[in-house]
Amino acid sequence: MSTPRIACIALISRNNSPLHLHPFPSSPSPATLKYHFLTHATLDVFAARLPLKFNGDSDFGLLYSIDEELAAYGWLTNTGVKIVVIIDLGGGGGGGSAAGLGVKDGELKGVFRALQTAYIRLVCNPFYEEGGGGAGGVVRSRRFVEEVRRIGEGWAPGGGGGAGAGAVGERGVVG
Amino acid sequence: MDAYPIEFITHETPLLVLSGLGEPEIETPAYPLLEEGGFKISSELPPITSSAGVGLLECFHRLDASIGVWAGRAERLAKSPAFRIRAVGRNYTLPPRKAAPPAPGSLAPGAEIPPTRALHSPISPLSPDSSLYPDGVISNLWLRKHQLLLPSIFVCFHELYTQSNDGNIQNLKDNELIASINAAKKHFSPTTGSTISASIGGDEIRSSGYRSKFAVVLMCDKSILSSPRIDDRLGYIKRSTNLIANATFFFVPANSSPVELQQFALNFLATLYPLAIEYYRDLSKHSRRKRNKSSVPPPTIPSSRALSQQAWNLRYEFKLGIFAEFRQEMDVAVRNYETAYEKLLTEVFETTTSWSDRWTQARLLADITILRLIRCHLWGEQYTAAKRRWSAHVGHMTNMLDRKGRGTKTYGFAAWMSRWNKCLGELIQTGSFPVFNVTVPASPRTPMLGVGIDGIEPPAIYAPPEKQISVSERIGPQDLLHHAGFYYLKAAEFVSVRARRAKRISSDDSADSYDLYLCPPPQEESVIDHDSFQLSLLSLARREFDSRQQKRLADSISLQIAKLKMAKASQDESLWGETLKDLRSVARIYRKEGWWEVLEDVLWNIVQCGRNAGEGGSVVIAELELMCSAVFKERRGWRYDLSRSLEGVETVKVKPTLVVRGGDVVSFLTASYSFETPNVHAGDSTISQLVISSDAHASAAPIVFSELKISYEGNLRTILLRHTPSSPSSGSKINKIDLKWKVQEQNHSPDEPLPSPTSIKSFLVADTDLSLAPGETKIYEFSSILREAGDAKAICATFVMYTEGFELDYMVMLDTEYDDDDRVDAPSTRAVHPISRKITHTTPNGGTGVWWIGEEGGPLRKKPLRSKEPGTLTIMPRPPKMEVTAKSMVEGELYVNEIVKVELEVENGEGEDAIVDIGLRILGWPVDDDDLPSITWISDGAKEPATASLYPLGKLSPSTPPTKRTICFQSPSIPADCAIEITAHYHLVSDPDTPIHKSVMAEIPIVNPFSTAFDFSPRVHPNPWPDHFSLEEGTGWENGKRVLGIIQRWCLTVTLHTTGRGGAVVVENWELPIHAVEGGGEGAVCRVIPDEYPKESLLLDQEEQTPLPFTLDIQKRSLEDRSAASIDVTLVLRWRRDSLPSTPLNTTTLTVPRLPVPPSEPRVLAALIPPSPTLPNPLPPNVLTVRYTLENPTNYFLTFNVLMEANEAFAFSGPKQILVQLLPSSRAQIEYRLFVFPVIREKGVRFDGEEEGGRWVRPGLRVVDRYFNKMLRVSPGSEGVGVGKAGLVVWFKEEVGKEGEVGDFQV
Repeated sequence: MSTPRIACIALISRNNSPLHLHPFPSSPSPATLKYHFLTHATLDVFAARLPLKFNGDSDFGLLYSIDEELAAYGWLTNTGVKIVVIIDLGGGGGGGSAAGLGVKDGELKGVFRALQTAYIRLVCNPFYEEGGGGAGGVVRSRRFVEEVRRIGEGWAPGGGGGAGAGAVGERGVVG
Repeated sequence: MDAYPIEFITHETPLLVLSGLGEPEIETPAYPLLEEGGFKISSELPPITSSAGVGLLECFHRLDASIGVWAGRAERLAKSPAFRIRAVGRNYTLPPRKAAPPAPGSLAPGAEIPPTRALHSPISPLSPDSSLYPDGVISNLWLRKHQLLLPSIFVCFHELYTQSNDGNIQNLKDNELIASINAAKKHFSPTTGSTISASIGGDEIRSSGYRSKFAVVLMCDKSILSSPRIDDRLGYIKRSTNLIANATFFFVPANSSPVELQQFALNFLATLYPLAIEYYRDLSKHSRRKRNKSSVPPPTIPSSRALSQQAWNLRYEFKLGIFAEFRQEMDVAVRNYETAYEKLLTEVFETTTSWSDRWTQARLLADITILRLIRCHLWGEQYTAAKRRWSAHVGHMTNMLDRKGRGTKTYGFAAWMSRWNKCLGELIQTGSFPVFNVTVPASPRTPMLGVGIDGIEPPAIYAPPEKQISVSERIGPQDLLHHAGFYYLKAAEFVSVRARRAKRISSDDSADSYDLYLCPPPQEESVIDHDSFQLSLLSLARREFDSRQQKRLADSISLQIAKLKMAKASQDESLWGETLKDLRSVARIYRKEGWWEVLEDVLWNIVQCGRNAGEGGSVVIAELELMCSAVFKERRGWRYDLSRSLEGVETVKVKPTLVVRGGDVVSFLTASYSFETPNVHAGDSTISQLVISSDAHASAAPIVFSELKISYEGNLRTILLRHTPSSPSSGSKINKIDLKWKVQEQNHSPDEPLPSPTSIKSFLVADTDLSLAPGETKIYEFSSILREAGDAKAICATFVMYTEGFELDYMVMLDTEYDDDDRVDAPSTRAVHPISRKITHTTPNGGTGVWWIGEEGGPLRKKPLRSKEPGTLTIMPRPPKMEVTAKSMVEGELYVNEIVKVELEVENGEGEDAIVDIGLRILGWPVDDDDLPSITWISDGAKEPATASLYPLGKLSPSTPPTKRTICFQSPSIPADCAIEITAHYHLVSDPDTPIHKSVMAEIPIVNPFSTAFDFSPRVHPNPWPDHFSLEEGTGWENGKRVLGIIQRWCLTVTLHTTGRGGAVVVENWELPIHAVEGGGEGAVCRVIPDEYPKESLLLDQEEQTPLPFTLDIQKRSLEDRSAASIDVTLVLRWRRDSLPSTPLNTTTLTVPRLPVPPSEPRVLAALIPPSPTLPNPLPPNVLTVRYTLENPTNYFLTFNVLMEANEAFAFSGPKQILVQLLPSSRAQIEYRLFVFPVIREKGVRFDGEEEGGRWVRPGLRVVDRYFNKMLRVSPGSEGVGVGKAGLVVWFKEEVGKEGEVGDFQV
């Protein structure tokens, strides 16, 4: 039984189109399409919960857990960009006793903040064209992709592994 | 849950059996030895069939809670008390308590037969005939016994005999009833168990020994009124049967209404409920006692294998749990089940032979126990606990299976996981818990983004954790109970796992190596239709997600369903079409939100389905979309050629005709339309470009369109391009095709019907190359002449393909609707997420249009267009080129009352002949518009009055001298700022339908040229006054009537000059008509005395003021009338401009202020007497003769003191001081000669009273009425005399050049 890890990070635009989707490990596999479906389906939850959100509360918390293994967490920036992090709980093939190693409420805040900061940095680049420069509006910035990869691979539950994430996360959120 | 025996999963509620109501049951639940060894409760009395009985039964049916009571506490309270109610007709059989003794033959030879056989329940593991024998733990039969056969309360319904009022018959019937009740009651008498066994086999009715409660309900057809003895009879029956009223003995009165029956049923159940609970509590006690005894009861036949002590305890715990559930004491049940489960894991699994039947049964029991446990948690709304229990069981099972060898990689385990997930889903669904309630009636088409009708919470995805769970405890996402859809989805996933594993089964595998728990052996498994399982599970899941507004998840499930159907479609051809429909609707959301990877997957499936279903249209459209390289990956080995996409597809029977809107599909083709300039005048030509470019995959074949139609909105005609193959292009990726002046007009031939009534009859046609290679951009350049003003807009480019396989009309919208994406809240209405393409230029207003410059075949470059919407053209009206000028004939301002002449010049500046009409309008006319002057047109001297319509000027040719016309009209009599608007309405001879206007505005300020000043002063009338002796004759006549008053002479001096800047004015003639003379008494008469020497004409200019005196005589009609009077006159001038001597005179009437004539009182008038020419010696020039006239118009003798004051400016001759006495109506004159002293002038110094050409001297004559001692004012009585500040002044005209001369003067 392994510890939880990030299985996928996705950024979704205000218009619900994918901006960036990064599965971990990042080798292309049939699972990538599965993550596309899973991420897309989280939009339902965003849409349903949106009217209940006040005062710019970005953290949507647990959107749903797909089964014993995967759980999707959501974050909404105030420009309408949605960030979804799918956590592999490490339950393995139906091992139900993964409880206790789950992800605590708010444990992912650092990750989300770091991702948002990375995204803000991307958007603030005057040479970045939103929705431009790539197929279907997907972000192609190498630096951004690298940053997302670093955040995704660096995270571990309990706040230990999120060193990079925590550091950038403190810088405040303006996006 | 249907994999488990139904009894195991049924929700427990106390069983209530109603005897005497309803029909006998056709099918009784199967139970061993039920008919042979059961206790039969029978009676001769028929069941109640009266309407009241039927009604009551219906009430009980409604209150039946066989399926359990769920859905939260509130609803449970409303449904309480809950019973499982069986109406069984009349006769009923209770299950047997003991199994039959074993037949001697069944014993194994040599087995020792114990002396006393302990008989046990037929379902006990101790009875040899039981399925549990010898070491089973518990079977579903035991549950069936309590759920269906053994009631907690047995109720007999009987009807009281009321058909006859005969006491004897009634007694007879009542006794029958009592016997029947007592017989039934005996079965439930609480006798001890020992007496039961003793009485086995006896003929008498023996007690069953069951502790079920017994109750009786009597019904009656007739009311107490018609049958008075009823009360007594009821009492008698009650006593005879030893029942207690309203506790075990009930009576339903006759003629009860349905509401009363319902109320009775409710009360009845509420009364009995405690009894039922007590019954199950007794059973619990019994089980607990047996458990605590901790000894294994002896079997009927001893066996080497026997249930262990621990297993017996497990059995008892399980039973205790069940009984607690019957009592709805779920927390108690939880404890029992926990213990039971613990024993199962620790004891039974370890001690039982692995993979044996008993071991499998134990697994089943473990599942059941956990299911019941979960259900108890759910009952208590402990969702997290339930989910954890569920997950823990998965963990335990995985663990155990891994240890026991066959592992979790088997299809059996996948089947179990699938079932286990499905069970959870079903539990959640059947429970219909408030937390998962869908409050809004789910409509899948609610707006995707604007979900959340205000104030209503969105449907819960998962239940929040319970409050009682401590904060420190970690609650993982997997601990939260989600709604059933997730579990159905997971179950479906495991079915697919199972299917994959089943595919790997090889035919020679033995069943032993597989986990066959609740699933078929390998050979059967491999042919099972897993897809159907999965389909049904997915449908269940989709319904759940759909109802919770999880549209996208539901769509992804639809996609999974579609893929499964495709897998099955090889057997069922009709599935292809069905699947295609699903796929097409699923694709919509991905297309809209731009999830291209997913959409790609869907589209390839559509292609496959379409090809198989024979729907060529879908294939073509999907392939068209898949060609877009911007968002889709290129599939290796695929032939990207749209025109041949249906080649070889034999299922397509009908050639499809498709109309596709570019906005509805992902388009590899982009088209834009630009006009070179956004504004053009009608009549000019404009150049426009259609740019089409292809973004197809590099390997795709060039696409060749048969036709390309460009349609416009507004005043541009449709352009149709037709394909003609041309020589292969240069290989350049950007090609320009010049179609300027190459399009030809073509009309629809009359025999060919129009495609639609609105289509344009004529359009422009050109033949050109319409092929487009991947990555190529083509620019078609057109020119068009614009005929009419208005807006024009390129709307749509329709690409038409006629191929052997299909016909496609692909419409690409050219008018770029502006992005509404900036608005966050508004859901986008577009069907396709915008595909971002590189934009090279953006103008500050957001326009992105480009213009390609360069020759066809030559190098091309592009420049940005400024316009925001380059596809829009504003055609401005044709600018008028007619020159119209207007000039007034006179310089400067125009004067009132004159004839205004304006000269018009119209010159045709157009390129061709024009027919011109002139319209006139005068603006700012001071009087009402109705009084507008009539305008006369003068053309070459011929006058022509203007008509209401336009003045026709006729055909004007260009390059001829300007056509001149003069208009004249009378100017108003009031000054005004007028303007005249001259509009030339014309049209070209070549284009009579286009009216053109050209207007000029000529300002004509009209002023009054005359500036006037008025002076009204008295004069001395030259005629003598009437004397007293001829007074009666009067002094004049008026209308034959004598006028008697004294005539007074007045002089009105009008000082005129012009103020107008239009030149001098010559007044040729003037007149002073008297309009009215107002006076008190009998009135007055006034005359204008004509001048003795009338002036010829007056030239008025701006410099000089010209006096114009008028002498007026006014006479009262009566001598006595001395009141004041006033005269109203006007001044009429007939004049002409000095510059226009030959024009007719204009007449201007000037108003004169009212002239006041004071009342007749004594007065003094001073007049300057010109030197008489008869004088022998002319007077020296510095001598003035001033004559004072004292007038006494009164009837009194008046005496005046007259004193001439000395003055330093002159010397005078005349009386210095005299006394003048005047008779009534008489006058006297005193004459003075003033010798004015010359003054030595100094340059620049003016003396007091000095003016140009002379100076004023002030002779101070004081005239005092002696009687009244009143000084008379001296008024001026001639020219040269005026009134200054200090009194009368006399003008002394100094002769220039004689200054300083002192002439002689006489004193």
